[in-house]
Amino acid sequence: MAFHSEDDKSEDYLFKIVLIGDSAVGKSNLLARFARDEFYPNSKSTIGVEFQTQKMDINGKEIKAQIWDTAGQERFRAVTSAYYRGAVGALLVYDISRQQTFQSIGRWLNELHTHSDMNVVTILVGNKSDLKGIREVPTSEGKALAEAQGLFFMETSALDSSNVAAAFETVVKEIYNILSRKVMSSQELNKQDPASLSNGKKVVIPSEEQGESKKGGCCST
Amino acid sequence: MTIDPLQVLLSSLSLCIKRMRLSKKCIGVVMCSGGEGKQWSCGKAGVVSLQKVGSLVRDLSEPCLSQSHIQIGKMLKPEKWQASFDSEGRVSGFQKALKLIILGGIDPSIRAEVWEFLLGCYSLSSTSEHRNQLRAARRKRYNDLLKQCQTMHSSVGTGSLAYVVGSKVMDMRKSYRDEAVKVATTDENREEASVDDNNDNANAESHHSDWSSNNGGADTSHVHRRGSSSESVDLASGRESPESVVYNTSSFVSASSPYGFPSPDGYFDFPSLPVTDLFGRNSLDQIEVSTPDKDASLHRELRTANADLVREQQRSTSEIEEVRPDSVDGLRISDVASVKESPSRVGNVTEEGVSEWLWTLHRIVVDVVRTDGHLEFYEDPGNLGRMSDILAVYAWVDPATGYCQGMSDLVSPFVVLFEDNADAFWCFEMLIRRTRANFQMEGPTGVMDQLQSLWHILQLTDKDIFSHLTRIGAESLHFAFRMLLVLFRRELSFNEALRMWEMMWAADYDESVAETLENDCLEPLVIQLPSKSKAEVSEETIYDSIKREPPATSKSGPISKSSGLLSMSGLLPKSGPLPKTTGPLSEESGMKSSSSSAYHFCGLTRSLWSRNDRTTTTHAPCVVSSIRKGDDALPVFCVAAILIMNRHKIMKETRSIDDMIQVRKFISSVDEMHTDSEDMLQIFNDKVLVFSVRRCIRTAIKLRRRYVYKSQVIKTKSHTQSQNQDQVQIQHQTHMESKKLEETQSQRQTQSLHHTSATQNGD
Repeated sequence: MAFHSEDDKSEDYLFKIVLIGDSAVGKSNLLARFARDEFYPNSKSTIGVEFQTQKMDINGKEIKAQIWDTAGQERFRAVTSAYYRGAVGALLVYDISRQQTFQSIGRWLNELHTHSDMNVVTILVGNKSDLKGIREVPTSEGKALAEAQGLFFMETSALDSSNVAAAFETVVKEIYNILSRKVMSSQELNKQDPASLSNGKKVVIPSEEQGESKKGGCCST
Repeated sequence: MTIDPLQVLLSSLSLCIKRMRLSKKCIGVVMCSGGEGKQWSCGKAGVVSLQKVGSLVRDLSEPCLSQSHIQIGKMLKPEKWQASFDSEGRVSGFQKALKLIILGGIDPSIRAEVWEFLLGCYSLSSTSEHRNQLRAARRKRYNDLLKQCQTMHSSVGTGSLAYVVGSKVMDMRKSYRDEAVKVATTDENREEASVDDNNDNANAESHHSDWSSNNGGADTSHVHRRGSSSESVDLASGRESPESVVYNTSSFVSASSPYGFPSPDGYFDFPSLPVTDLFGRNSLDQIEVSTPDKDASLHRELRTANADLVREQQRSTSEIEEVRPDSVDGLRISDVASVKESPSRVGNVTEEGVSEWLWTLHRIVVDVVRTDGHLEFYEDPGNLGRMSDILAVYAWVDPATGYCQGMSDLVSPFVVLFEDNADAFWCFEMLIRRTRANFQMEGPTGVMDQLQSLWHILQLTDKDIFSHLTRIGAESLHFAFRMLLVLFRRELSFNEALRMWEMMWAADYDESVAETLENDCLEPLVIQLPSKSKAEVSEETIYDSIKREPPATSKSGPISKSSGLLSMSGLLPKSGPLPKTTGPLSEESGMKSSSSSAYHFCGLTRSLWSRNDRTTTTHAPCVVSSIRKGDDALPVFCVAAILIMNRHKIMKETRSIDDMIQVRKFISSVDEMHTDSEDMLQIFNDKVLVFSVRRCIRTAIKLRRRYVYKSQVIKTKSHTQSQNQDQVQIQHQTHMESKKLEETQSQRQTQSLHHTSATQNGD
């Protein structure tokens, strides 16, 4: 059991976070910048699903963020939908220089809520903030949308690193806070079914997950 | 003191294992610098760190492509290849050539030429004269198609990209205007969603009709196909949790569900174009107010105009079509008109078809600029333009597939290899005919099928890795997804991927497959050749021969028809996603199947088929024969080979940490690689797992043979068992295998159900 015990090892805190948004908004580069401090101007389109695990320090606790990066094109979502499963955080990314990518945010949000838990901590990320000259989505618009939808909001640039770590940290911190609150209340409630805290999937507990996954059979995860 | 014999045994065992590991590494290194590693002579010296590979490849890519002497060992060399033609240019000794290719690939200097045969662009029995005719006709057709595309976007065919894409900047202003039509289309859905928030059937219905009309005839087939699986339509709404209402998920779900395409795996499709904005007008209004430029006002006008129409009218296709041109700027209308009048374009070219294509063009450009950017070849923007043109033309002739990410990875080698875009186009097109199921709107169903096959192959051929993957919960095998979709292009260097391709094609070569491919020909690509060559064929005989072919593939059992190679059942390919009835091409649908011209497309004739049937049965190596029985193509066996060849490493690496994370780590490692280590396929990025392409192919071929054999044993066994239990002595093991097979099969049948409930329960 993952997080209802106080003396849990820090490695037990593993948050799955998904990066979603249209093609070429910079999802992979946000991840590359955050996890490896790298940026690839010529990075290829993502095929399938990739992920990277990044250790973070939140309130003195070591937390691992497992960040999933998916292909942006719609037809791949058929496959990638499986990867929303168990996500506790999400970065909804658009490109501030392409209005269209901003307009897709609604669809992505729907997608997220269709395939994952409603309580996924979500931040709206306007990426490529370095492209000031050709900005098409004003900051105020992003902010307004985020407020209307109850999302965090930040403008980032994977190119010049601004706000990249902050965006990820915002999500992870919030997850951690929610988790801490839930753990406390659950302890007060004398350890109810811990699964109900997080729908049993937020913090990956290998032994539990393994049991579930075995039933899945090929290709059904 | 006595020495514990067990202790000794253990320590020597561990030493042994250590050695094995060591030697495993050594094998990698040896192969790097020895066997096939002559590519180092192109400038690479010693082991390079992955980071630096990009720039190195740039330095050496071009010489590597053209130097033929750098490859040693067995391969198809120019002399051997030239010697296999007869006086009229027919290929006579192709089986020999195939064997050489399987052993070591093709000398780069003749690669392009041989590929055309390998891919089925030309039949072996075609004379050089016939091929010249065909080539000329194809080039002409390609250029006609290119011109059609040019009328829709003037950049096509000019060598410059349709949209300005800098090194990191993508100025979308221009495209935004082009997309205005699309956006307007989209807005109808938005309006609808916000006007009518009830998530009732009527709403869903109206979305449905709305969407299909928006996409014109071009997507009719999709709607049908999706509709056919409507028994799972309710799943989408069923998934909704009560809270989702807050986010107005309902409108989206209802909009998408009519064409959600639940595959056997139960995943959903989301229509690509009707961008349903759950924030409805609020966000739109903001956008309009705050973007006071021309585009935005155009956008607003369009939106309002269309939205009003949408509200007032019952949306019928014709009405929308009549209305739309008025709401589009004049330039576009005239363009469309000229397209409509284009003589070679049969059927109705709808406004939707055009705007759909323009939207696709934008996607193509976005991906083209980030495809193989490490190759010096693509530093010339003209070459990027070529790549974009070919993809754009393809998307135009095959609107049902359009452009899908991954296709640019597949087209790139052809752009590099062929000087003429038309030649490159036709090779690419032949490749897509085989792999079309991987790129469908509904999702990469072909790859998903292959992953299932892979699972079954592992189950039957390698118990260790199978049980290990089961144990760690890696049944989805998603780490293999990319390998199968872009055929190892991301895992291997450019040159090695090309070699892998040709080796796989050679191992899979079967001229009877070309029949299927012929049937898969897209309408606009059917070419009429001068009657002289036509006379060789009698229509009836062709059909007879086709019909006589048992539809072996329909019962391909555990192996899917994913490759699209073997999907012939009757005249029309079952899985061949021919846009038979799709918009621009619809007029001719049904015509093709009764037109013998299609069979001239690849230059195949009846006489050739029969001859080659004989050839294949008498001379074909075993590797070829297996595929004729309806089993799968080689790529999936290559993935299996990679896993099996690295069994120990995988089992070790994916067991040490806790299991689930381990699997994912494994996936991650596959995907994280920035590749480009010559000659080697690497699975784990730092803990390098290497082996040569040749070995992979060899192993894959053996594996396929073993797999086919085992499946047959099981089949025979179960057949015999049902007929007469006493006749055959069945080994216990086989019995168990068969049991498992049956279980898996039944499991697969009910899989969509399983998955469905899994999704519904949210794990």
